[in-house]
Amino acid sequence: MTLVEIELPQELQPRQTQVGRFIRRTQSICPECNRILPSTIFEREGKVFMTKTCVEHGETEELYFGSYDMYQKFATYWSDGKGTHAPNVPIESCACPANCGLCSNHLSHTGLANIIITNRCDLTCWYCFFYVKKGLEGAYVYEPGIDQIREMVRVLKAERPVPGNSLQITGGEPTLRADLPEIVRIIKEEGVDHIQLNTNGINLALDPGSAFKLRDAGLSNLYMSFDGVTPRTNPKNHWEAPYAIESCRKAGIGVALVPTVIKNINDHELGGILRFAQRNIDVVRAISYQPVSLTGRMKKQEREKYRITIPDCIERIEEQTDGEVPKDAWFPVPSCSPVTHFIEAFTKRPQYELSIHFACGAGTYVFEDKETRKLVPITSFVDLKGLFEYLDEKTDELNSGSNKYLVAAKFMSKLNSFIEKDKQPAGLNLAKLLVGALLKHDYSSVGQFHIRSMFLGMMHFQDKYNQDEERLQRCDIHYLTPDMRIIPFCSFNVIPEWYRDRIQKKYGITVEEWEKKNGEKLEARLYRGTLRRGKHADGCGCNTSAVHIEPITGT
Amino acid sequence: MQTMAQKGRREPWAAIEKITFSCSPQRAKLDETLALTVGFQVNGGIRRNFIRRLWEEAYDQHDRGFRLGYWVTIMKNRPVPVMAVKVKEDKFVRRGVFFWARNPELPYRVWATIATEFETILYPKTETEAQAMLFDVTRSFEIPASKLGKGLHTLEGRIRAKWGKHIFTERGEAKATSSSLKVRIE
Repeated sequence: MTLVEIELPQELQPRQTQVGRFIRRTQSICPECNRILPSTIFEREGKVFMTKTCVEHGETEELYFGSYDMYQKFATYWSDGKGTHAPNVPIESCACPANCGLCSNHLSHTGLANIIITNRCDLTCWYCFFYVKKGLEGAYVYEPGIDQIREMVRVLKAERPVPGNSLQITGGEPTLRADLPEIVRIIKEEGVDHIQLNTNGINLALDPGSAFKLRDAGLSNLYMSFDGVTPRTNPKNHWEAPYAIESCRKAGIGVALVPTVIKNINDHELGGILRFAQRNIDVVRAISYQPVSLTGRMKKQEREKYRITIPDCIERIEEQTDGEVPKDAWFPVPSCSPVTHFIEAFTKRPQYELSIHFACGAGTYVFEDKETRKLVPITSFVDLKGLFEYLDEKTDELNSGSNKYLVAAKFMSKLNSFIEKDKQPAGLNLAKLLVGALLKHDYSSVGQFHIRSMFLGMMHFQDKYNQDEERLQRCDIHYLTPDMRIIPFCSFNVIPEWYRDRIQKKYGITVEEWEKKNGEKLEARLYRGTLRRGKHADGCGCNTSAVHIEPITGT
Repeated sequence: MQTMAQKGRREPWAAIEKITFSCSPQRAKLDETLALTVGFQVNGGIRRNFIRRLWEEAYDQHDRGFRLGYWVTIMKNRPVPVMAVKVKEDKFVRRGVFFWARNPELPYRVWATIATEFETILYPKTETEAQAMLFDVTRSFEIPASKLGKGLHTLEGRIRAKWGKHIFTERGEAKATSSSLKVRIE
């Protein structure tokens, strides 16, 4: 008998090993060779996965979103943004993830611009890929000059139709630059209203006076790493964070805590982090949980060990707060779109919009009940779904030519029906605040929102395993680079060999050159643990301090 | 475009058609529950215009969604029509969301998903499927028979659909009433 080789028709070709309910098709990249691949998003056992097959490197299957139900709910808020009319890289056809910068096909304007002012760091965390490591071949120090920084900010402000107005100074560790207050001042001078500093907080802990200088220069808030409430989960700044927070408290600078969440490492402390923030609610304005982005080559088993997604974090927060912050309290970031669209229809002017992909981020607001000290999510006294739906309806009416003053009157009379006033935290008049912000464009009252309240956010940056071009095209967290481009976060960091490393090498200098130029060794600025000697600080709030086991007494 | 279509074809821009109205059981005891189902389609130019070419045209002018509000009301009729009593009312929304698709098998740039009341999202494979997801409706209600009370009742479903102005349609609404149904409660 002779074996006959036949060519199977397309429908009979062996399929990827996807077993489950098909959701949608998208594009991704091969984690080995960056080749653009078609990929499938599908549901299996209540979770959402992505699968893709490279002809050379085989199939990659990855957890995409930890709950299918939440995926479905979040997807209903899908809303593509306005994009930007002043792109730096005009191209005809979409070539994501190549040629980012922003290209004319990008769908979101810059929501938050990052500007790296140094890649030096005073810590040497084993898992960090971002700081310059002396001794490595090709190690270089990247520190743009003041003029370069000013030009980069001007590119941000030149964005149209919505000029960038929110900027994060990042590193490395940006406080290592002696001219940091001057950098803040320059950014402010160029017209950026919101400036935040991404830091480990150690230098602010060591030198509380620097917080005053930064505040005076125009800094809005600190965006501080804070990975857990024990030294084991947060070796980075466990001892120093309380001092840094105290410095900010004295200087009147708000703080956002930023835990990177890794499964089996610190996912059991998400509630603990929230309690720590609650104890400092007078100064901690937000927590931005960031499910880990897995860099480097990792085997599937290892990825499964560490991979955690937004729904998993939300579930753990519900469990670890005894249901005080339930799953239902969370909404995807683009759920803000009905508010933006309403203001746009009312003012007939393009507005700042958070139009990222629904799978990229989520958020909610929590308030502290003065009597019980329990956290009260905004959804417990506001029918947000109903409000968004109503805003959509009114936007339709405005866009269809209805009289805007009649619509405004209807809106004001209906607004209270979405708010249960008796459940509203004392001191907050949400209806008044919304009328002020939406109709009068008076944002001064928004500060009221932060009275004993916190924003809880979640942002899942991509990696090569779960990379989705659909998400990348809608990214609104961008990097400003000295070649006058604006590059989406998930291009800049997911394919560093095309973006981050290449740009920093081009505009950086070797470690040896830097040492010669500055007359000091790179390692001279490493943190030596000054604040770690001896016992824990009083009231530092960690698991081993006395405060942790006592009832919450506020600040 | 809408006016021309109306004049040319001599049909309404939108009409609620193929209405079905059923009740189970139609003869029930006072302590039982009645299952009522109303089904209908929105047809006409508005449905015909919900096509990919116009999704793309709308998308490029930043008109990126089509919101359709539906009201279904179950009425208990009285001898004098103006005295009809509302038994149940349901308001819901369906939205067509136009988006830049990255599906490599789709030969188009812009496609649509259909979202239902911030709860679920549907991914149509064809324009016809998208139209069906948006314009074909079946709603079910449960009401206790006691709400109607003992006796012979005449029920009917009143339907209303409303939408705003977009690239492919003017603002408008359509209304219809189902045939009536007799229900006996003992």
